[in-house]
Amino acid sequence: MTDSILVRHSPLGFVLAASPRTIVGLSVFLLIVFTAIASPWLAPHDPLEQDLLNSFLPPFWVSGADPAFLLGTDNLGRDVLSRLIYGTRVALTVALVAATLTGILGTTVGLLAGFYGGWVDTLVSRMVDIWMAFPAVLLSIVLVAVIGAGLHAVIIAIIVIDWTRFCRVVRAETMVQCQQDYVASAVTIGLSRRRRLFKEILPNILPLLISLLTLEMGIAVVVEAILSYVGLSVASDAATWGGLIQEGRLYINQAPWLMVFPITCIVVAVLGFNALGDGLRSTLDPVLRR
Amino acid sequence: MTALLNIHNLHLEIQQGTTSLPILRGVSLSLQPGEVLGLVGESSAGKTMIGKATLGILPSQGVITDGEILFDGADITHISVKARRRLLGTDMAMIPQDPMTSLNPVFRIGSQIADVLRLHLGLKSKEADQRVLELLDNVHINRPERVVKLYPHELSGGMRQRILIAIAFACRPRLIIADEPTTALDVTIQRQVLRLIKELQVASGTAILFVTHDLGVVAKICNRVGVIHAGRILELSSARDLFEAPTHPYTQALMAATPRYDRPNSALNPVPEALVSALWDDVRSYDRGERSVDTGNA
Repeated sequence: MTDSILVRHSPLGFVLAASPRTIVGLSVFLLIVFTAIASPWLAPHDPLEQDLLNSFLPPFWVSGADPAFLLGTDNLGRDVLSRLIYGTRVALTVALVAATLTGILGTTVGLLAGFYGGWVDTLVSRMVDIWMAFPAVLLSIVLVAVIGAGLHAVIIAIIVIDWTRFCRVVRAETMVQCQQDYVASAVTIGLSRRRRLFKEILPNILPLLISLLTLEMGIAVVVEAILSYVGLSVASDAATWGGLIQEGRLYINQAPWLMVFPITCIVVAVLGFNALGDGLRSTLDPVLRR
Repeated sequence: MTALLNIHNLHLEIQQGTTSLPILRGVSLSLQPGEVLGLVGESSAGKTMIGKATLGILPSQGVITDGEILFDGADITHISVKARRRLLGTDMAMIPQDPMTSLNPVFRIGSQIADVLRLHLGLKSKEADQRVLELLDNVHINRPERVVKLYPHELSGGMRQRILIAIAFACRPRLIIADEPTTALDVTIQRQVLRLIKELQVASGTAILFVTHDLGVVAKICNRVGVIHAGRILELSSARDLFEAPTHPYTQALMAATPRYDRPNSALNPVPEALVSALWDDVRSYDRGERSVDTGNA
């Protein structure tokens, strides 16, 4: 018994208890973080450096490739690998900042709606209904067009659109938790409403929030790619995964790898975030945890 | 000596939309300091609602339409949320029915008890942790220093109920509402938990309002007993009188209905149907009487 407690609460124990899914997700996440931080050292070339003599070089396994450009070059002779590596910075920034802020807004509103019920709940629920009736991509494009292109606009657009995702789930879960006996017990020991909401109920929906947060990180990466694709994200010469797809689209027949690589990056990142969220949820939940 | 708890002519209804369902029909009782009063009755008789009304934790549809609840001489029937919070946990506490779900699943046992001590007694973390060990020792938990580090799901039902009892007694309240605290436990554990509650009650001098449907439990722990049916107290007397010479026919029928292990082969005696319908006729005429008074005033 004592041994199992020790194992469970140490970092080593965490890794031992984690499912393969968590480990895969965590590896992808750490790889992205590392790549983003270490971009200048990892990238073999400057992502903006043009080399017009070496345009449309294929990736290394195709004949005619230049080993100096592992994943080939684009129409202006820029190194695809370096651009992908620098692209992780944008993707990670958007994923972390947008998902966190979206989570904070949606969770707060959802907690209040679920806990207080009544007109607060009615108001919030109707707002969520209206929000969800808007086509999300269109709304985000309109928003960014109004705010002005740039990374901050992308982040604001994601928050404004996606807070409902957190709000709905948190509201429903808060309602479920409010019915639990431990909340009633908290009343009888004289805890205030605010204390009950933030100190008793919120910790119980934390595992759920973690999986929502990582899901949202995946969504944020996709939304950033969409907005880059339509040219509404960061300046068009900067390296982003969405921007790479958009540039590559023009040369899909000559150089399909220009699209394949950034799409692969997005898919792997999103799958990784989701796997991490799912895994963490079951690992962190003290009831599910064995 | 003034009564610690005095409930006078309490009427309570569940109101939903335009319909209302009477739950309590003029309940009156009083509880002296240090006394254990049992409330027995069948399901939906309203015994739990008396406890909830006293603590002020009625469901939102539950409305007190008449009567008053006095605690230590002060009217607490309709006091503010804030004033109520000052009473709960310190002067009044509750031992809940279901120990399996009444502890917060994501916090360790130790921190859940320490929270109460820090909040109400203003203890520092160190003192609180020390006091937690004492409290766990008082409820006869072995190796408390190990148990404080566990999560609720790692404990059995009996252990969890002991923890909840420790929380209820933590700030030495003057009144504890025990809402069927042994119903969810198996019989051998029931006995230990009852003995524990009685022991702590005698040591601390806390008064207990003990809600149960089990006459055997009442016999073990209570000084006085009230028998409830359809939101009315039919008989309220000392535990000894109730068991030796029950006066109300319903009480007599309940006694006869209790299966006894010293007479294993005798047939079960349900409460006679004639008696039940007579009681309900009485209830209905009581409700009609109330309603006609209302229309007379309108």
